[in-house]
Order: sequence, then C-alpha cells, then structure tokens
Amino acid sequence: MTRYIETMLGALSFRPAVIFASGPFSRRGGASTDDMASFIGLTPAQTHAWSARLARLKDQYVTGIGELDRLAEGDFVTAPVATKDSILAKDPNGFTTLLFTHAIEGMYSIPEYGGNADLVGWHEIDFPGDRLPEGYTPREVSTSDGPDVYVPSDVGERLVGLIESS
Amino acid sequence: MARALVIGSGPGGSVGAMVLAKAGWDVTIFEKGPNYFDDLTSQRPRTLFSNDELKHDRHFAKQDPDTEPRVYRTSTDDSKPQVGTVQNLAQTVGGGTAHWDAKTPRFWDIDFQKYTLLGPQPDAGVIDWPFTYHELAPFYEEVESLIGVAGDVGALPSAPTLAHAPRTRAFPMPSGPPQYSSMVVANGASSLGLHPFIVPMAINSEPYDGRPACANCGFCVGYGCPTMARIGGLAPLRHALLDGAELRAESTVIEVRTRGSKATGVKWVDSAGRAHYEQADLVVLATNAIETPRLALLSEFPDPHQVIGRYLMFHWFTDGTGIFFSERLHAHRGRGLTHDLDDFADPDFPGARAAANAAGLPYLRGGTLEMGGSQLPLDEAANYQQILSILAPEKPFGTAFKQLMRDSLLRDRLAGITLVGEDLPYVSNQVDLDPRLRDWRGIPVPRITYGPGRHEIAAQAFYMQWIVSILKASGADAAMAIPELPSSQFSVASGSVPDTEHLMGGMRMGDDPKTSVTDGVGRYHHLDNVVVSDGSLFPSSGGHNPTLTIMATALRNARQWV
Repeated sequence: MTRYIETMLGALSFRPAVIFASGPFSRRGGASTDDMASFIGLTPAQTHAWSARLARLKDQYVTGIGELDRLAEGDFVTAPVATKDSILAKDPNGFTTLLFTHAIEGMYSIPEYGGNADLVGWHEIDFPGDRLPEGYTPREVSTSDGPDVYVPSDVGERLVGLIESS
Repeated sequence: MARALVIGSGPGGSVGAMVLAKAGWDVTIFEKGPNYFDDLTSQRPRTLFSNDELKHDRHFAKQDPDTEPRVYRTSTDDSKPQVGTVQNLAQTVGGGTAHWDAKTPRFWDIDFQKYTLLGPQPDAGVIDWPFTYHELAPFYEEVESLIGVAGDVGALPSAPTLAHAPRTRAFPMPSGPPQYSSMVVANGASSLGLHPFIVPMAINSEPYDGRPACANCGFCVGYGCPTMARIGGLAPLRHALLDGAELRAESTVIEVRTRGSKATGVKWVDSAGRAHYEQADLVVLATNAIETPRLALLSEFPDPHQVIGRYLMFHWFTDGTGIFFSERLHAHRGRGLTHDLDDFADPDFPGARAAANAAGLPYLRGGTLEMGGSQLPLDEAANYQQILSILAPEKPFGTAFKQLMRDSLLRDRLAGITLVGEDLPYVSNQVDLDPRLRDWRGIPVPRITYGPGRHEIAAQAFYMQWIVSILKASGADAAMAIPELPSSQFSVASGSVPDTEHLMGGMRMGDDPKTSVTDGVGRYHHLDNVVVSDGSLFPSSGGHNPTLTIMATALRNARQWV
C-alpha cells in the first residue's frame, strides 16, 4: 500500500508520468505483450491538473501524518492498535478518508500502479480483473455459475438491513 | 474550396464532418481532448483505452475538474453553488462515444411531435421537433448501418416499442449474448406483465466493417473499447478523414468571430497555449449541450431574446439495487447490461395518467428502464467506505470493510436497474457563463442552473415503486430504489449534482426565435453560416438514450447544409 501511495505522490517525477497506464491489453488477459506496463505521456492540460492535485495531496499527507502523531502523543506508528483505531475513527482533517480512498485505489486497481501485489486484492474478492484480449465466452456471459449461497456476516446483515429499510 | 470548421469530434460533429467532406468541403475538425487512437483512417485503429478502473477514475478521457471545473446551482436563488464535476462528458477524440455503452434505442413518434400529440405541460416549454419520426427514420437506418447496431426486430415488443418507433428493416447484426444478470431482472419484469427485450446496441455481435465481435470484457459503460468492437462516432470520423478532413486534437476553440450575420472564423488555442486564427465559410458547433452554449456565449453571438443555453435537459437516472443471496450474478462479464423495457416511457402506462392528474399534470413519462447492471470494485469499495460510518461507526474501516468486499453484496450479488427519465424543457434550466470562475486557460467556465420540475418529481415518485417491485419479482432478497432528482421530497438525493451524462438542449431547434436558438436544420437563428450538430439541438429530451438520435439528426441536418 505504501508503494502505491509513494508511486502516486511521486508520479510526475517519472517520464512519462505514472498516472495513466497504457493499453489496450496485459498478459493477464492473454496478450503476448504487457501494454499496461508502460505509461502514457500527459498532455499539458493533464500535467497542469495533476501538478495541482498532487501538490495538494502531498500537503494533506504532511499535515495528516503530523496530526496523527499529535493525537497519538508521539509516534502514531508505534502506538497501540486500539489507540490507532480510535484516532483513525475520528477522521482527523479528513485524513482517514484520504488514506482509505488511496488504500482502495491501490488494493483493487491493476498492479501496474504499485498496489495489488500478486493480485492479492482481486483474489481476495474473487474479481478476475482485466480479461482482454481473451474476454469471456457467450456461455460465461449468459448462464448462471450455479448456486452460491451467501453466508451472512455481521456487517453484511447490517448492510442488508439498511437496504431493506430505505 | 469552401472551408468548414467543425468544433468537436464526437458523434454529432463527426457525422457533420463526414457529410461536408464528402460534399467537397475543406473540413478541419477541432478537438479539445487528446487522441487515444493511432490511425483513424483504418477500420480498426489501435487504442490506449484499457480495462483499467483507476485510469478511468483519474479523468483519463474526461475533462479534469482541476483544469476545467464547472459551477452548479439548483436555481438562480441557490446561495451555495457547487464547483467541480458537473455532467462531464468525455473530452477526447470520439467524444461521448469513446465511453458510452452504446445502447441505441430510437426516440418515439411522440417525442418529435410532443406538443401536437401530447399537448402542453404547465411550467415547461414543450414544442414539436422540426421533423417527425417518419422523416428521421431513414437517417436512423443509415446511422445504424454506419456504426453497426446489433439487435433483433422480432424481439422488440410490438407495443409500446415498435408502435412508437416502427422499423422496416432488420438490424445489421443479430443481438449479442444476453447477460445473465439482465435476464434475471427481465424475467422478474415479465412476471409482472411488463415487456422487456434485448436492447439494440452499437456493439459488434459478429465481425462487422473490419472490426471484431465484442469479447464481453465487462468494462463497458464509461470505458473506451479496447478492441474496437464498439466504434461509435469514430466510424463517421473515419469517413470524414478518408475524404480529406483534417483532425486537430488538443486544440481548443475559444471564440467564433462574427461580423453582422456571418461568422468569419474561429480563434483557437493549441496544446502549448498559443493562440491562432482560422478563417471559415461554415462553423459547426458540436461540443455538447453544455460546451456549445458556452462557446456561443463566449463568442457573444447576437441573442436578442436571450435564449442561448436555455431549455437545458438532463435525463434523470433513478436507480434500483437488487441483492441476491442464492448465487453470484457476474455482471462484470458482458456489455454492462443487455435488457431494457419501454413500458414506463408510455404516457398511457396503467396508472400514469391518474398519477399525473393527481400532480396537476396532463400526463407524465418515465423512460426506458435498463436492467442488470452492477459496478466494478473501486466503485463498490467507495460505496462501502461511505456507508461504513453508519454500519460500523466505532471502526468504519479495516475488518468490516474487508468483509463487505468479500461478501460483494454491492457487486457480484447485485443486479441493478436504471430508469432513464424524460426531463421536460424549462426555460429556467440553463447554461451561462460563471461571472467569476475561469478555467486553466483563463476562460469563463459554464455555470449550470438546473432543477427538476413538477413533472420529473411526480414521474420519479410514480415509477420508483415499480423499480422495487421488479427487483423483488426477480428473486432479489433485498431491494431498494435510489432517488436521483434533488428535491425536498427525497432528502437522500437533495444536494446532489447531476451526473447522468445525457445532456440535451441549450441550442434547441424550433421555428420561433423567442423560444428556440436554431432553426429546422440546426442553423443559428441570427447567423447564416453557424450550425449546431450535437445534443444541444434537442427541443425535448425523450425518454431514451440520446446518442443515436444525435447522430441521425446530425445526418439529416447536414445533408441540408451542403
């Protein structure tokens, strides 16, 4: 995860910038070359946007990490887990939200962006990822994979309750 | 040789460019966005689009709110305008068809003769289109052949679909494989007496025009097609280029120069920010229903009745979520979704007249209903992130989040519904220039003033109950409908910014210069050589996906310019 965030925050120090992975295919989907391993040069408009965005994000990281240490009354990283959780639950200056957003991006995006190492994020949720050029057969599209009964989890049941009550 | 400058390389502009280039005009097409294709004169250009959800979220193919923000307010009285992304369409060569999922229903006869056949609506500026369904039908056929629409006429319901949008010919290709999740919901709809069908789509079901059949990758709506099984506006663009048109990507037109009743040329800025001037005998505005009015206003077109940018319309998408406990529905395979039903677009749908009368309206319409879609993991995860503060307030991250991702209730066990609702034309819904905010080039940004009227609120309320009923009849173990329209009636949606990407009106066609901006062929009422060729032309929004109608209208109009 750290690698994803560091790659993103430093994206403009690479040439081309590591913002947009190339296409159209990867070896995961059966291609003979991994197009996604290279990145696409930014247009001046995109460079302008990402310079502004990444400068803002870097500021938010510096401020956010400082705030976590302040709330932990020391080094946040070495604080007890319960302390960390209660600090993060306060979402100081929206920093937990930001970290969470970037954790999601790293975990479930293509691994070329620096996260999802060995496709661990996709494996855990049974998501096949990018599948071109092979794709899926019409049968895989049109037929059921068979019964797969949901085993309710606590939080899942709460989600279902929320849906049913809305 | 007469010189035509086409502003915008999307489906409307490309059709205009194709007709002009074929007729011998010297055509230059300006596109603000980048070009993600190699040889656009080939049948199957190679592309940089890919199955990459993060790239999509990073504004790869859309304008970035950090360079080009927009302003949104619910009415002129709104004291807290929102700034950022408002109805951003693709900003790239190919325009909106670079990222559409290519559903290509036709509009109905009652859309084109709305005033004559259905009558006026209080508050709204309902008018007829300058042509009827029957006049447009041959152009629909031509576009369906050009971009390759797959469908089965025999599977379309005789009523209401074919009764309101009759067809004389088979589609160029048969339908592609139906998606399992769509079939599940469609079966539920059938059991309630509704009439679902496989919706026509401009996605190859078999090799067509030098391009392959769709490989069912699942990254469809919102994503550029990596295989070119879905070509959209690039088909007419290719013909334009083969007939000598020039395409300039990353080239932004910032002003149309005029003298008296004529446009003389355009001022444009290249990717390095250098300004240039180009002479023109004809200027074609085709940048979409927000950007075309913006350019007309930036150019200070003569506008004696102040109608530029007015009667702006957005389809409202009221969504339904169905959760299935017995199996996974794998909606990540295929064309995003494959089934629609049109019953709710019918003003005579049982109960609709009574609901309209109760709201003080002569009639109401929803629109086409799409069935079976879901979402990809980044979107799914973002949903959980948002609701975990309710589900697990003591620790709204970590274990609970990972459990939700494994459960996949909002992805692999989800089959959704989207109602594409008709939005009436209101003079108060409009685009103008924000008095303060400018984009990264220093150009005033568009300010969108938009709120639904009585019709939209009543139609949404009437059809929301159906959305849940259909999902329950499909076997969903849990179901809900999510209101889209901001109104005091639905607190959930209140304050949301429109993001449905179906943008229409603003430069609408009509006979009366007091209530319309362009004439019966899309020509600006007060400038002889400025024509419009995008969704901004629509006098009313219909209740179906608009792009096919944009292209057919562009084709019909352009044949009368040359």
